[in-house]
Amino acid sequence: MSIGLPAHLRKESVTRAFSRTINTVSLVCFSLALAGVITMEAGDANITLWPAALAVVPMLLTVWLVNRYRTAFFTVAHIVIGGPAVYWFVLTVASEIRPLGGVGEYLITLPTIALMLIGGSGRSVVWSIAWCTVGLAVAQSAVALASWQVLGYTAVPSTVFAVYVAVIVVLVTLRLSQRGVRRVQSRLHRAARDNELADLRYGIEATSAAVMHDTVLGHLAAIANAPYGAMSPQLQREIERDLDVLVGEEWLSESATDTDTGVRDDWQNSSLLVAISEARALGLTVELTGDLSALSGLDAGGAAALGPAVKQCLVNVVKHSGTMQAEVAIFASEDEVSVLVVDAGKGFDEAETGADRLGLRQSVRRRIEQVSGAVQLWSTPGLGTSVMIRIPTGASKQRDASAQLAASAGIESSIEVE
Amino acid sequence: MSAATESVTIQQLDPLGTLDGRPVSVASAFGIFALATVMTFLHSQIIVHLWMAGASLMLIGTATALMIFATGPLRAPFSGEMHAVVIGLLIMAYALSSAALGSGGSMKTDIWAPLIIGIACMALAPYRPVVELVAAGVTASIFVGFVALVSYSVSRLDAPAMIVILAAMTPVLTMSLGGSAFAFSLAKTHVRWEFRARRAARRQLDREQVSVARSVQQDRVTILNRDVVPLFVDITQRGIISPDDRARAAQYSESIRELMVTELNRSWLESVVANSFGALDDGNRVQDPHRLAAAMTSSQRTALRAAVLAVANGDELDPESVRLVIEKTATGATIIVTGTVTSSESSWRSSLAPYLAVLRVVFTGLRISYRSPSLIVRFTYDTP
Repeated sequence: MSIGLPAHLRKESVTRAFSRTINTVSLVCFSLALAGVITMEAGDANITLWPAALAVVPMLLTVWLVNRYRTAFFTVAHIVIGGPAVYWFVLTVASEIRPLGGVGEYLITLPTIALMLIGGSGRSVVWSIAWCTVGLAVAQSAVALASWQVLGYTAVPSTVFAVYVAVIVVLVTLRLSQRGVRRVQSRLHRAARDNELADLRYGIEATSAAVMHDTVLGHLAAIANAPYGAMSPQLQREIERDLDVLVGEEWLSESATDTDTGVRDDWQNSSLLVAISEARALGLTVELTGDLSALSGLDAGGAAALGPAVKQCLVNVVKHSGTMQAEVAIFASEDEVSVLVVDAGKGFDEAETGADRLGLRQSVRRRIEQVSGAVQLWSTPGLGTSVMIRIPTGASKQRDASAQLAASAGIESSIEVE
Repeated sequence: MSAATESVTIQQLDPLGTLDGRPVSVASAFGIFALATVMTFLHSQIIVHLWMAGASLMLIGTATALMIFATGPLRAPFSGEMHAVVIGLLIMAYALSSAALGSGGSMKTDIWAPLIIGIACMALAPYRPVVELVAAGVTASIFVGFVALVSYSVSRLDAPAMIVILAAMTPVLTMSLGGSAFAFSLAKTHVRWEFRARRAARRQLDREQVSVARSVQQDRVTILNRDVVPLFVDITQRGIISPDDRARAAQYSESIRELMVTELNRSWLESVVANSFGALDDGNRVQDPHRLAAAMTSSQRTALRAAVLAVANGDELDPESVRLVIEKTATGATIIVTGTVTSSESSWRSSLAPYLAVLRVVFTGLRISYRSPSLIVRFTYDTP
C-alpha cells in the first residue's frame, strides 16, 4: 500500500490535527483552572471561589462542542459564552484573592488562554488566525473589565499575548511546510499503484504459465517423443482442444474474473476427478481414498486449481517415478481441503531438480499459491514421493473476508465518530 | 481509539509529511535553547549556585542537539529511547535550574523550564506513538510536579503548594497532551484514508483485471501464433507426425520453456530496474541469488520502486553504475545499492533525502557510506 497522505489531503488533515491540539490544550487549561479554584476553595475557608468554578463549566462544554463539530457556529458560541464566563471568573478570583499575586495571575491566565486558543480550530489558517484574534480581544477585554472593576486597574496577563504569537507562528509554519515533497509523494503513490498492477499481472501470468505448461508444452513434448506415422486419436483430440482453448477463447479473462467464493455442490464433476480420469487414461493406476464430498467445500478458484495441480503430480509419477501406481487421498477440515498424492517410485531430491523443470514449480506450487493454498513435498531417493496440497475452503475464505470487513467496519465507525 | 492509531508514529505513516514538518521541530529545539539561555541570563542576579545553572544549560543544549540530530531524515526513525533521553535530560535540567535558585525561586522564575519540557513534548509528537506520547507527558508532569514541590519546600513562596505544583505542571501537561492529540488526529486521518484508498484500489483492480488478462493472453497468443499454432494446425490436418514435426516440436518446446523459466525467475525488482533504466539496463544490475526480493512487504516494494525510478530518471548518479545486491543474513536480507555520484554532495543529499527518509522508515538499519564519488546505501528487512 502507499506511504503517506496525498498532498491534497495533507493540508486539511494537518489543519484538523492542529485544531485538535488547540482544543486539547484548551480543555486541559480549563480543567486546571477548575482544579486550581477548587484547591484554593478547599484550602482556605475564608475565600469563596465556587462561582469561578461554575464559570468554567459552560466553557468546558463549548470546547467539547467545538472539538466535536468544528463549525463556525460553535466557535462563535464558545466566544460569546466564554467572554462573559471569563469576566465572571476573573471577577470572582480578583475579588477573593487579595493581592492577586502569582496565584491569582496563574488562575486568570488559564481560562484567558483557553478562550483565545479555541479560535485556532478554524478550517483554514486565515480563519484560525482571525478567530484567535477575536478570541484574544474578547478574553483580554473581559479580564481588563473585570480587573478594573474590582482592582481599579487592568490586570491583563501578558502570557496570553506570547501564546497568541506562538500559535500564529506555528500555524503559518505548518502551512508553509507542506509544500516541499509533493513531487516525491506523488511518485510514491504512483509506485504503490504500479505495485498493485504488477501483482495483478503476476497472478494472471502465473495462471497463464500453468495452463501453457499443462497444454502446449505437454503436447509439444508428446509430439517430439511420438513415433513417426499416424498420430494417436487422443493426442489429436487434445491438440485440437489446445487450439480451441488457447487461440479461440478468452481463457485467461474467464479465469481472472471467476472470483465466486461460494461452495461447489457438483463435486462429482470436479476437476480433480477429471484429472484422475485423464491420468488413468495414461495407464497410471490411481487409488482414490478419503471423503470425496469434501471437495464441495472448495470455492470456484480452489476447485479449478486443484484438478490441474493433481494432474501434474500424477503426470510426474508417470514420467519420473518409475512406477505406474499412485494413491490420491483426500482429507478435509472446516478450514481446508488437503489432497495427498503418494507414489512408491524412485523418489528424488527437490534441490537437485533442474532449474528448467517447470511442472512442480509452475503447475503445482505457483498455481496452488495463487488460490492461497500451500504445497509440501516429501521425497527420498529410492523411497517414493508424497505431495500434500492444502487449499482453504470457501467458508474459511468467507470467514477471513468477514473478519476483514468487521475490522474495516470498526475503523469506519470510529471514523464516523471522528 | 483504535490500536492502529495508538501504536504507530506519524513518521511511520507519513515519512514525507514528517520530513516536511521537521523545520518546526528544529525551530522548537533552537527556541528551547534560546529561551533557556535568555531566562538563565535574566535570572543571573538571583542564581545562588552558578554551576548548577550552567549544568542545566548544558543538559538543555545536549537535549536540543539530540532533538535536531535524531529527527533528521537520514537518521529516522526517532527511537523511544531517544525520546526518553531527551525528556529525561530536560527534567534533570529543570531540577538543576530550580536548585540553582536556592530558596529564591518563585512561580515566575521557575516556569520557563517546564515550558521548554512542554515545547519538546509537542515538537516530538510526530515521531512517537500516541500511547508513548501520553505516557511521556504524564510522567514528565509528575516529575515536574515533584521538583516543584521540593523547590516549594525550600523557598519562601506565599502560595498553596498545590497551586505551585499545578502551575509547574501546566505547560508540560497542556503541550504534551496537545501534541498527542495532534499525532492521534493525523494517524486517524491516515488510517481512514488508507482504508478508503485500499477499497478504491481493489475496485479499480477488479475493473482492470479483464483488460490485463486480455493483454497477457495476447502476449501468449502472439508467441504461439508464430510457430506453435501453425505446427498444431498442420499436424491435426495431416494426422501424421513426421521427423520434421518432431524436431520442430522439440525446438518450440525448448524455446517456450526457456522463456517461461526466464519469466519465472525474474523478480519484481528485476522488472522494475529493467523498466526504469530502459535501454541502459544490461540485465545484471540486480544480484539476488537467493530470490529474496519476493519477501519484501508491499510498503517496502513501494518505497524501493519509487527510489529506483528516481535514481534512474535523476542526474545525481551515473545510471550505468547503479547496482543492487541482495544478500541473505541470519534473520532476513540486506540490500546493498551502489552507484557513482555525478553531482555535488549537497545536491544528491537534498534530492535523495525524501526517498532515503522513506526507505529508513520501511526498512531497518539503513546506512549510507559516501566516499566521493562512490555511494553505498545498505538496508535490511526480515524474511519469512
